[in-house]
Amino acid sequence: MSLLRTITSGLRTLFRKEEVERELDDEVAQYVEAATKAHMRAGLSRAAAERAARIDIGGVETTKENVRSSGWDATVETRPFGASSFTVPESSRDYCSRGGRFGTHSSNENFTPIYYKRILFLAHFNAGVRAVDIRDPLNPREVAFYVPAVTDKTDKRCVGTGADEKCKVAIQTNNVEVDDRGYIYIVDRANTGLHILELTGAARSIARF
Amino acid sequence: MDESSTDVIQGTLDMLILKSLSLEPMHGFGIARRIEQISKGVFKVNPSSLMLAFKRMERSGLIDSEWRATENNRRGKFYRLTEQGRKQLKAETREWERRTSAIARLLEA
Repeated sequence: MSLLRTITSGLRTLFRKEEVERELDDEVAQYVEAATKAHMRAGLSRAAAERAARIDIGGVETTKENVRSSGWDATVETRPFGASSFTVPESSRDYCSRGGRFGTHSSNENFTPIYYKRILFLAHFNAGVRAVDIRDPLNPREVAFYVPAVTDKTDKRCVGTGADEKCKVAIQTNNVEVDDRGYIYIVDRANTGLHILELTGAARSIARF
Repeated sequence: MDESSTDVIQGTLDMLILKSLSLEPMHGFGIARRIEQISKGVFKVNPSSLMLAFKRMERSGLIDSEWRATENNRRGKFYRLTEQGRKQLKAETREWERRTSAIARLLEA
Protein backbone atom coordinates (compact mmCIF):
# COMPACT_ATOMS: atom_id res chain seq x y z
CA MET A 1 0.00 0.00 0.00
CA SER A 2 1.38 3.42 -0.90
CA LEU A 3 2.04 6.01 1.76
CA LEU A 4 -0.75 8.17 0.32
CA ARG A 5 -3.27 5.36 0.60
CA THR A 6 -2.12 4.66 4.13
CA ILE A 7 -2.73 8.29 5.06
CA THR A 8 -6.08 8.36 3.25
CA SER A 9 -7.31 5.24 5.02
CA GLY A 10 -6.10 6.65 8.33
CA LEU A 11 -8.06 9.84 7.75
CA ARG A 12 -11.16 7.90 6.77
CA THR A 13 -10.99 5.91 10.00
CA LEU A 14 -10.58 9.11 11.96
CA PHE A 15 -13.39 10.83 10.06
CA ARG A 16 -15.75 7.91 10.51
CA LYS A 17 -15.00 7.83 14.22
CA GLU A 18 -15.89 11.50 14.59
CA GLU A 19 -19.06 11.08 12.59
CA VAL A 20 -20.15 8.07 14.65
CA GLU A 21 -19.44 10.04 17.82
CA ARG A 22 -21.43 13.05 16.58
CA GLU A 23 -24.41 10.87 15.69
CA LEU A 24 -24.29 9.25 19.11
CA ASP A 25 -24.20 12.69 20.81
CA ASP A 26 -27.17 13.87 18.76
CA GLU A 27 -29.23 10.74 19.29
CA VAL A 28 -28.72 10.76 23.07
CA ALA A 29 -29.46 14.52 23.18
CA GLN A 30 -32.65 13.90 21.20
CA TYR A 31 -33.70 11.20 23.67
CA VAL A 32 -33.04 13.43 26.69
CA GLU A 33 -34.91 16.33 25.07
CA ALA A 34 -37.95 14.18 24.27
CA ALA A 35 -37.96 12.73 27.80
CA THR A 36 -37.64 16.25 29.24
CA LYS A 37 -40.68 17.43 27.28
CA ALA A 38 -42.69 14.44 28.49
CA HIS A 39 -41.84 15.31 32.12
CA MET A 40 -42.77 18.98 31.50
CA ARG A 41 -46.12 17.91 30.07
CA ALA A 42 -46.62 15.98 33.31
CA GLY A 43 -46.14 19.23 35.23
CA LEU A 44 -42.43 19.47 36.11
CA SER A 45 -40.44 22.69 35.62
CA ARG A 46 -37.86 22.69 32.80
CA ALA A 47 -34.94 22.17 35.24
CA ALA A 48 -36.66 19.40 37.19
CA ALA A 49 -37.75 17.74 33.94
CA GLU A 50 -34.20 17.79 32.59
CA ARG A 51 -32.90 16.20 35.80
CA ALA A 52 -35.59 13.52 35.67
CA ALA A 53 -34.80 12.81 31.99
CA ARG A 54 -31.13 12.32 32.78
CA ILE A 55 -32.05 9.91 35.54
CA ASP A 56 -34.42 8.07 33.15
CA ILE A 57 -31.66 7.50 30.68
CA GLY A 58 -29.34 6.20 33.38
CA GLY A 59 -26.70 8.89 32.89
CA VAL A 60 -25.87 10.45 29.53
CA GLU A 61 -22.21 9.44 29.56
CA THR A 62 -22.98 5.90 30.77
CA THR A 63 -25.42 5.41 27.91
CA LYS A 64 -22.94 6.72 25.36
CA GLU A 65 -20.23 4.47 26.75
CA ASN A 66 -22.54 1.43 26.59
CA VAL A 67 -23.35 2.12 22.95
CA ARG A 68 -19.74 2.99 22.10
CA SER A 69 -18.30 -0.15 23.66
CA SER A 70 -20.25 -2.35 21.30
CA GLY A 71 -20.00 0.00 18.34
CA TRP A 72 -17.29 -1.88 16.51
CA ASP A 73 -18.31 -5.45 17.16
CA ALA A 74 -19.81 -7.71 14.50
CA THR A 75 -22.74 -9.32 16.29
CA VAL A 76 -24.69 -9.59 13.07
CA GLU A 77 -22.86 -12.49 11.45
CA THR A 78 -24.31 -11.89 8.02
CA ARG A 79 -23.31 -8.22 8.03
CA PRO A 80 -19.79 -7.83 9.39
CA PHE A 81 -18.30 -4.40 8.83
CA GLY A 82 -14.79 -3.01 8.92
CA ALA A 83 -13.85 -1.02 11.99
CA SER A 84 -10.39 -0.01 10.79
CA SER A 85 -7.41 -1.32 8.89
CA PHE A 86 -3.70 -1.59 9.50
CA THR A 87 -0.71 -2.24 7.33
CA VAL A 88 3.01 -1.54 7.35
CA PRO A 89 3.97 1.43 5.13
CA GLU A 90 6.00 0.01 2.25
CA SER A 91 8.19 3.08 2.09
CA SER A 92 9.36 2.79 5.68
CA ARG A 93 12.13 0.37 4.61
CA ASP A 94 11.61 -0.13 0.86
CA TYR A 95 10.06 -3.51 1.53
CA CYS A 96 8.83 -3.95 -2.04
CA SER A 97 12.40 -4.01 -3.38
CA ARG A 98 13.99 -6.11 -0.62
CA GLY A 99 12.99 -9.43 -2.17
CA GLY A 100 10.54 -12.10 -1.08
CA ARG A 101 6.96 -11.39 -0.14
CA PHE A 102 5.78 -8.30 1.76
CA GLY A 103 2.45 -8.21 3.58
CA THR A 104 0.56 -9.73 6.49
CA HIS A 105 0.66 -13.50 6.54
CA SER A 106 -0.73 -14.44 9.95
CA SER A 107 -1.39 -13.26 13.49
CA ASN A 108 -0.86 -14.87 16.88
CA GLU A 109 -3.73 -17.31 17.44
CA ASN A 110 -2.93 -18.07 21.05
CA PHE A 111 -4.87 -15.97 23.58
CA THR A 112 -2.99 -14.91 26.65
CA PRO A 113 -4.22 -12.41 29.25
CA ILE A 114 -0.96 -10.49 28.86
CA TYR A 115 -1.76 -9.43 25.32
CA TYR A 116 -5.49 -10.05 25.00
CA LYS A 117 -7.31 -6.94 23.70
CA ARG A 118 -4.02 -5.07 24.01
CA ILE A 119 -1.39 -6.12 21.53
CA LEU A 120 -1.72 -8.17 18.36
CA PHE A 121 1.34 -9.62 16.62
CA LEU A 122 1.45 -9.95 12.85
CA ALA A 123 3.90 -12.03 10.81
CA HIS A 124 4.61 -9.75 7.88
CA PHE A 125 7.01 -11.71 5.61
CA ASN A 126 10.01 -9.49 4.76
CA ALA A 127 8.83 -6.88 7.29
CA GLY A 128 9.35 -9.41 10.11
CA VAL A 129 6.94 -9.32 13.04
CA ARG A 130 4.86 -6.23 13.89
CA ALA A 131 3.34 -5.48 17.30
CA VAL A 132 0.08 -3.52 17.00
CA ASP A 133 -1.66 -1.72 19.88
CA ILE A 134 -5.34 -2.70 19.48
CA ARG A 135 -6.73 -1.23 22.71
CA ASP A 136 -8.69 1.18 20.52
CA PRO A 137 -9.83 -1.06 17.66
CA LEU A 138 -10.87 1.98 15.62
CA ASN A 139 -7.31 3.19 15.69
CA PRO A 140 -4.72 0.37 15.63
CA ARG A 141 -1.18 1.67 16.08
CA GLU A 142 2.14 -0.06 15.58
CA VAL A 143 4.21 0.03 18.77
CA ALA A 144 7.13 -2.28 17.93
CA PHE A 145 8.57 -4.46 15.19
CA TYR A 146 11.45 -6.85 14.65
CA VAL A 147 12.94 -7.83 11.32
CA PRO A 148 15.47 -10.66 11.76
CA ALA A 149 18.79 -10.41 9.93
CA VAL A 150 19.37 -12.87 7.11
CA THR A 151 21.88 -15.65 7.81
CA ASP A 152 23.88 -18.03 5.61
CA LYS A 153 20.92 -20.41 6.01
CA THR A 154 18.36 -17.98 4.58
CA ASP A 155 17.09 -19.08 1.16
CA LYS A 156 16.85 -16.83 -1.86
CA ARG A 157 13.49 -15.88 -3.32
CA CYS A 158 13.19 -15.65 -7.11
CA VAL A 159 10.86 -14.03 -9.62
CA GLY A 160 10.76 -14.57 -13.41
CA THR A 161 12.17 -17.53 -15.36
CA GLY A 162 15.25 -18.29 -17.49
CA ALA A 163 17.36 -15.27 -18.36
CA ASP A 164 14.81 -12.95 -16.71
CA GLU A 165 15.00 -14.68 -13.33
CA LYS A 166 15.98 -12.37 -10.46
CA CYS A 167 16.72 -13.66 -6.98
CA LYS A 168 17.19 -11.99 -3.62
CA VAL A 169 17.92 -13.37 -0.17
CA ALA A 170 15.17 -12.14 2.13
CA ILE A 171 13.57 -12.70 5.51
CA GLN A 172 10.12 -14.32 5.22
CA THR A 173 8.52 -14.28 8.67
CA ASN A 174 5.63 -16.69 8.23
CA ASN A 175 3.98 -17.33 11.60
CA VAL A 176 3.93 -15.85 15.07
CA GLU A 177 2.83 -17.24 18.41
CA VAL A 178 2.91 -15.99 22.00
CA ASP A 179 2.87 -17.66 25.39
CA ASP A 180 1.65 -16.61 28.82
CA ARG A 181 5.11 -15.48 29.87
CA GLY A 182 4.96 -12.89 27.11
CA TYR A 183 7.51 -14.48 24.80
CA ILE A 184 6.91 -14.06 21.09
CA TYR A 185 7.93 -16.84 18.74
CA ILE A 186 8.43 -16.19 15.05
CA VAL A 187 9.36 -18.67 12.33
CA ASP A 188 10.71 -18.00 8.87
CA ARG A 189 9.65 -19.85 5.73
CA ALA A 190 12.99 -19.11 4.01
CA ASN A 191 14.93 -21.32 6.45
CA THR A 192 16.18 -18.53 8.74
CA GLY A 193 14.76 -20.50 11.66
CA LEU A 194 13.01 -19.56 14.91
CA HIS A 195 13.45 -16.34 16.89
CA ILE A 196 12.22 -15.94 20.47
CA LEU A 197 11.55 -12.29 21.31
CA GLU A 198 10.28 -10.14 24.14
CA LEU A 199 8.88 -6.63 24.22
CA THR A 200 10.82 -3.82 25.84
CA GLY A 201 10.23 -0.18 26.70
CA ALA A 202 6.92 1.60 26.09
CA ALA A 203 5.44 -1.31 24.08
CA ARG A 204 6.02 -3.65 27.03
CA SER A 205 4.10 -1.35 29.37
CA ILE A 206 0.96 -1.80 27.23
CA ALA A 207 0.92 -5.52 27.98
CA ARG A 208 -0.43 -6.77 31.29
CA PHE A 209 2.61 -8.45 32.86
CA MET B 1 -42.50 5.37 36.75
CA ASP B 2 -44.19 2.71 38.86
CA GLU B 3 -41.69 0.71 40.92
CA SER B 4 -43.14 -2.54 39.68
CA SER B 5 -41.98 -1.89 36.09
CA THR B 6 -39.33 -4.29 34.78
CA ASP B 7 -37.09 -4.60 31.75
CA VAL B 8 -38.84 -6.09 28.74
CA ILE B 9 -38.77 -9.89 28.64
CA GLN B 10 -35.41 -11.06 27.40
CA GLY B 11 -35.39 -11.60 23.65
CA THR B 12 -38.56 -9.58 22.98
CA LEU B 13 -37.15 -6.07 22.64
CA ASP B 14 -36.50 -6.41 18.91
CA MET B 15 -40.05 -7.65 18.34
CA LEU B 16 -41.50 -4.76 20.34
CA ILE B 17 -39.42 -2.25 18.36
CA LEU B 18 -40.59 -3.81 15.08
CA LYS B 19 -44.20 -3.65 16.26
CA SER B 20 -43.90 0.02 17.28
CA LEU B 21 -42.36 0.91 13.92
CA SER B 22 -45.01 -1.01 11.97
CA LEU B 23 -47.40 1.83 12.89
CA GLU B 24 -45.22 4.79 11.87
CA PRO B 25 -41.60 5.96 11.80
CA MET B 26 -40.51 6.93 15.32
CA HIS B 27 -37.53 8.16 17.31
CA GLY B 28 -35.96 6.29 20.20
CA PHE B 29 -37.83 7.97 23.03
CA GLY B 30 -41.13 7.55 21.15
CA ILE B 31 -40.62 3.81 20.99
CA ALA B 32 -39.61 3.56 24.66
CA ARG B 33 -42.62 5.67 25.64
CA ARG B 34 -45.02 3.57 23.58
CA ILE B 35 -43.77 0.30 25.09
CA GLU B 36 -44.20 1.73 28.60
CA GLN B 37 -47.63 3.19 27.94
CA ILE B 38 -49.21 0.30 26.03
CA SER B 39 -47.84 -2.18 28.59
CA LYS B 40 -49.41 0.09 31.27
CA GLY B 41 -46.04 0.57 32.88
CA VAL B 42 -45.26 -3.14 33.26
CA PHE B 43 -42.23 -2.81 30.99
CA LYS B 44 -39.60 -0.10 31.01
CA VAL B 45 -37.05 0.10 28.24
CA ASN B 46 -33.41 0.69 29.08
CA PRO B 47 -32.21 3.44 26.67
CA SER B 48 -28.77 1.81 26.21
CA SER B 49 -30.38 -1.50 25.25
CA LEU B 50 -32.71 0.35 22.91
CA MET B 51 -29.91 2.16 21.09
CA LEU B 52 -27.85 -1.00 20.82
CA ALA B 53 -30.89 -2.79 19.39
CA PHE B 54 -31.29 -0.02 16.78
CA LYS B 55 -27.70 -0.45 15.64
CA ARG B 56 -28.01 -4.23 15.50
CA MET B 57 -31.33 -4.15 13.64
CA GLU B 58 -30.14 -1.50 11.20
CA ARG B 59 -27.14 -3.62 10.29
CA SER B 60 -29.42 -6.62 9.86
CA GLY B 61 -31.55 -4.61 7.44
CA LEU B 62 -34.70 -4.82 9.59
CA ILE B 63 -34.94 -1.06 10.08
CA ASP B 64 -33.73 2.08 8.32
CA SER B 65 -33.03 5.47 9.81
CA GLU B 66 -32.91 9.05 8.66
CA TRP B 67 -31.94 12.32 10.27
CA ARG B 68 -34.58 15.04 10.22
CA ALA B 69 -34.51 18.57 11.52
CA THR B 70 -36.40 18.92 14.78
CA GLU B 71 -38.38 21.88 16.05
CA ASN B 72 -35.56 23.22 18.24
CA ASN B 73 -33.09 23.42 15.34
CA ARG B 74 -31.28 20.21 16.12
CA ARG B 75 -31.43 17.00 14.17
CA GLY B 76 -33.31 13.92 15.25
CA LYS B 77 -32.93 10.31 14.18
CA PHE B 78 -36.07 8.58 13.05
CA TYR B 79 -36.38 4.86 12.44
CA ARG B 80 -38.70 3.06 10.09
CA LEU B 81 -39.47 -0.55 9.25
CA THR B 82 -38.05 -2.12 6.08
CA GLU B 83 -39.84 -4.82 4.08
CA GLN B 84 -37.49 -7.36 5.66
CA GLY B 85 -38.41 -5.97 9.09
CA ARG B 86 -42.10 -6.38 8.30
CA LYS B 87 -41.55 -10.06 7.45
CA GLN B 88 -39.45 -10.51 10.58
CA LEU B 89 -42.23 -9.01 12.71
CA LYS B 90 -44.74 -11.51 11.29
CA ALA B 91 -42.39 -14.42 11.93
CA GLU B 92 -41.55 -13.29 15.46
CA THR B 93 -45.19 -12.65 16.33
CA ARG B 94 -46.14 -16.14 15.14
CA GLU B 95 -43.32 -17.70 17.14
CA TRP B 96 -44.24 -15.71 20.23
CA GLU B 97 -47.89 -16.83 20.02
CA ARG B 98 -46.79 -20.44 19.59
CA ARG B 99 -44.66 -20.20 22.75
CA THR B 100 -47.12 -18.33 24.93
CA SER B 101 -49.96 -20.72 24.06
CA ALA B 102 -47.65 -23.63 24.96
CA ILE B 103 -46.88 -22.01 28.34
CA ALA B 104 -50.60 -21.35 28.86
CA ARG B 105 -51.40 -25.01 28.20
CA LEU B 106 -48.69 -26.07 30.63
CA LEU B 107 -49.97 -23.78 33.37
CA GLU B 108 -53.55 -24.91 32.92
CA ALA B 109 -52.75 -28.62 32.83
